Amino acid sequence: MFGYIRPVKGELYVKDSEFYSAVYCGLCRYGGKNISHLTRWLLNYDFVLLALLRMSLSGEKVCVEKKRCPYKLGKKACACADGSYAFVCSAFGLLTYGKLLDDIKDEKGFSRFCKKMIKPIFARIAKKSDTYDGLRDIVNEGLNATDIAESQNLDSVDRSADGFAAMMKKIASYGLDGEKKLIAESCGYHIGRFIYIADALDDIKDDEKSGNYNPLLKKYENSENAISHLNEIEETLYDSLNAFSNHYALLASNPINAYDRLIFNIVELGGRNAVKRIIERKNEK
Amino acid sequence: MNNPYEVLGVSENASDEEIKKAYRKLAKQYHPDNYTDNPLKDLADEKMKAINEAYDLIQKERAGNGYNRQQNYGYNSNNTNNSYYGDSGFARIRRLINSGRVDEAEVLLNGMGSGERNAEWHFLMSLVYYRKGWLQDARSEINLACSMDPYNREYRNFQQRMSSGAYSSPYSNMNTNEIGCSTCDICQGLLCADCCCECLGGDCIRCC
Repeated sequence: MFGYIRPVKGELYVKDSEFYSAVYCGLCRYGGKNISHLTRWLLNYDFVLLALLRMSLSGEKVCVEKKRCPYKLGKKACACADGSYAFVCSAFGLLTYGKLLDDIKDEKGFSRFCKKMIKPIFARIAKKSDTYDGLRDIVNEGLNATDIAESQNLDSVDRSADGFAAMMKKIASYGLDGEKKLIAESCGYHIGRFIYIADALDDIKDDEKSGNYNPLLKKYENSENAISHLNEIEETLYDSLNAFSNHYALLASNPINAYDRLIFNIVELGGRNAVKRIIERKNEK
Repeated sequence: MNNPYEVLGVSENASDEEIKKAYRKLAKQYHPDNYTDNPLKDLADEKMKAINEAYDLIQKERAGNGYNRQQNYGYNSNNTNNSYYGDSGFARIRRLINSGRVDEAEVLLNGMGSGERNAEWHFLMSLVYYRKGWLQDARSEINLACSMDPYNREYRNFQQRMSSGAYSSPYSNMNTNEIGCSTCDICQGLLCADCCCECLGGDCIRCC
């Protein structure tokens, strides 16, 4: 989870924009209080989307209250949805720790040393986060599957993204059943796939230098060639966003509510903006 | 080859109806679907092939050249994975995809020879990949299907559906560059029509 997908606030109703900020605030507050203060610094937009998705799917009752923020002066509107926050923060803690272990395994030199030094702190976060049965296994399995796919040096973007996407599918649908589970699975899968491929596109030049595995490099041989096929990559990223919103629409109420408007905005506009931002960054380099 | 009547377990004097019945019973028994994860799958496939060949032979013997069983039963004896009597192979794969059994559908599609990989094959493969979430592969298959059969509406619709967001989303139309007709466009149109009418001596809108 890398914080790619944020809403396009200019296109939101003011009330929805305020609600989004309140959810972000609530999630940050919950994480800081119950997991670790570090989560306040590390939480990102992707987890807010996950929280919104879970809130929308679980139908949890949410109230917005003014609460004091230790990092900002004055009181801020804060949405309370502890059930969804608890789950998202757990997933966050376990994912961050899993990712750190992965980095320690893959990296060399000073950055590996630094990561080894901070490992106990994240181990503590992971331990505190491990409150849902089977969630740790889901994360470990997903990261392992990603590792295996990478070690196989697959040249199919879809196949290498499958491990991470399948993990997100299980996380998004955890504890749900019936129709909601199916929708959550599909949404989780596509958002996972999007994040994985967008990250691969973002890192393409660094990976080429360091020689790390990158599915896009493998498929298009080098970064120059990949960038000349940007249309194809963009298209497949947009396809994921379209698939997400098409599947989410099965759940959306009629007329659509604040969650639906926010989620559609984040996915359809925010996702496209994220891709454009990454491409701009590539062009600047 | 053994006596085809023995393979089907009927006497040589049996009626067409009896032969058909025996064939259906055996085909159901040895159908590849019953053995998907079974170590004896190859054996079952061989049996199925033998039954098909025997049935083909009897039909040819009895009906002469005018009768083409495949048209009626859609069963291709060269590839036991293809189809089941009663419908064509693709119809069966469609049913599997619709009922969510995409892995089985993929196995059946992959089992088809390169000669049978027509536009519909690529379309169905695209559906399978779409269901699995493998959208890049799905996209390349549907593009191939559309280029092989450019006038097929079903393939085109699916291709378009992949490119569009949810209908109920207020943002879907913002991503495509569709030209809509807003209130402003209507007023502009009316004013233009009024100008044209006035040039010709008439008047469309009295007040201006």
